[in-house]
Amino acid sequence: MKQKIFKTKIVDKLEEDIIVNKEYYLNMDENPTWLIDMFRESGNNNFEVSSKIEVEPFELVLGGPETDKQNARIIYSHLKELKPVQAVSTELWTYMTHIQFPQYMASRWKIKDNENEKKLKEVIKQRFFAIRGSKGVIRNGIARLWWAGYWGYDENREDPFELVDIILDKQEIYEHISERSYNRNKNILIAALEAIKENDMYSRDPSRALFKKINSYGSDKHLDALDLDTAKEMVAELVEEIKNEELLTI
Amino acid sequence: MFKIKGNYPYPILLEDTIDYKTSKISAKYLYRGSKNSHNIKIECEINNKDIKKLIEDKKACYAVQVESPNAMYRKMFEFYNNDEISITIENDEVIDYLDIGIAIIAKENIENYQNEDFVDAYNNIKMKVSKNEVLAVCQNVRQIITLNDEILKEVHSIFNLKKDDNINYVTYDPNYDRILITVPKEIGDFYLKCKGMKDIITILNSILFTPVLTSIINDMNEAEEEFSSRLWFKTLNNKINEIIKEEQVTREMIYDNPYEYAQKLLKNVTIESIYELKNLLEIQEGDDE
Repeated sequence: MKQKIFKTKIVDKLEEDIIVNKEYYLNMDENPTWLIDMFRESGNNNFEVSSKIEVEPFELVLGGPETDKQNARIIYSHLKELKPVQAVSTELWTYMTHIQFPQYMASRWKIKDNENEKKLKEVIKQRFFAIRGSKGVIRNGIARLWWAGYWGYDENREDPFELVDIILDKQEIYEHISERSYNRNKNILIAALEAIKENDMYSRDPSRALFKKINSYGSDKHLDALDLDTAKEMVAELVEEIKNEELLTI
Repeated sequence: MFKIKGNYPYPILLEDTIDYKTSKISAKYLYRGSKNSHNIKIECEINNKDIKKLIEDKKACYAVQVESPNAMYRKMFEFYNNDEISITIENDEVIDYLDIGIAIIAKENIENYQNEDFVDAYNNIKMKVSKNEVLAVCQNVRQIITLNDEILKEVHSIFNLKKDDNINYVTYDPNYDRILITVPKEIGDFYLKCKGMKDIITILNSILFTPVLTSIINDMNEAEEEFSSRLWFKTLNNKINEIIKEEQVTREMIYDNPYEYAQKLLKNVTIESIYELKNLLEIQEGDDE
């Protein structure tokens, strides 16, 4: 079947009406299908179009952050053919968060009320919409799972999702990867993620220190020129530095 | 992208280098958009014989980095012994614009690196350059803005927008598969910054594209044979045929009223932009009160 997406005008209108609809977002768990009901009641059957993306029907597992790894496997397996240029589409992800998987969004990304409407609007926009540009889409509640799959999936491994699991182990690691441009460099990414796993650097400080050091390393060497073996050697050296610094701190 | 203002611990050849006496590096980029891809031809000129020798010996290479941040695309291409480089990137890897950079990087550790053209301060100092370190960077990185279905939503985008440091007017060139509109750098930066701001972008689209499309309709009338093989011509021609059918008008009527039909082809963007401007002014007045 063809994946359905929102019409652009519907996304624009929904975005414009975030505050008008804020009660619906705040109470998604009680009424996740509010938007479909709204379209139905108003007789609007013209809100979606079929995209060119072929996909088999699938469901996401409901729950909190503990479901991220499993859901990333589900969504990336079903949408592996999606091209990055399609995967930054606000029409696709906004459709998924509002129409296709509102129950998942209610369980995973419960929106808390905030007196500051500007902040509330920003949170809803980040998780339910996909603001144009790379940094916008990676915060969308469902797009983030696909992007973790895109960055980490490696079919040369016994478990091709091994690195995806590392990316989603901690929200901080996902943020480091997603918000820095070396997510576009597979060699650095593989080397860094393997090092995190091998050296148990999942927690905040060591992973942050590693990514910081990789950035500094790139100040005179061109990271994109590194092949996988050189990238692994470089990361291993940086991990040693971090370990030595930790010893010094003690 | 390659860092031009990085703290390199050894001499670097830049366009405005202070580390070399007379050496120069520069590049020219020629962009050509087609229906399915973007082709960039790069001519890199370097007149430093020691660096050229390193490239010939495959100890260094030309490295071209192409990036489309909004599509999360980045790729580096390496070339040896080749001052003319051609790169093709598929349409579905690019959103909005491409950043292109060219540098020369070491492909192996170079012990005792010395260059005849170093400034006197480096005389007789032998450097160690490690593998993957940058030897030279070309500053002219270009951004080419691709308008993915933003204007003519139901037809293939017929425009590309290019920034140019050296002009202070807007011009266009129909001799590509997409009509290449060139704007001053500051205007191009402003256009990019406004992407996603529907009101401002509608106004900018009206200012930039309506006059160009008006002129293009004239070009189609006067020099059909010259442009008929271009993708933009075919796309526009199809759209004009649709208008002829829907509105029961003749092709001559369209060619006689290019301004009116340019607006129709651009989804009435002129009127929409005036309304957007009116709304903006009303909001501003509200804020002032």
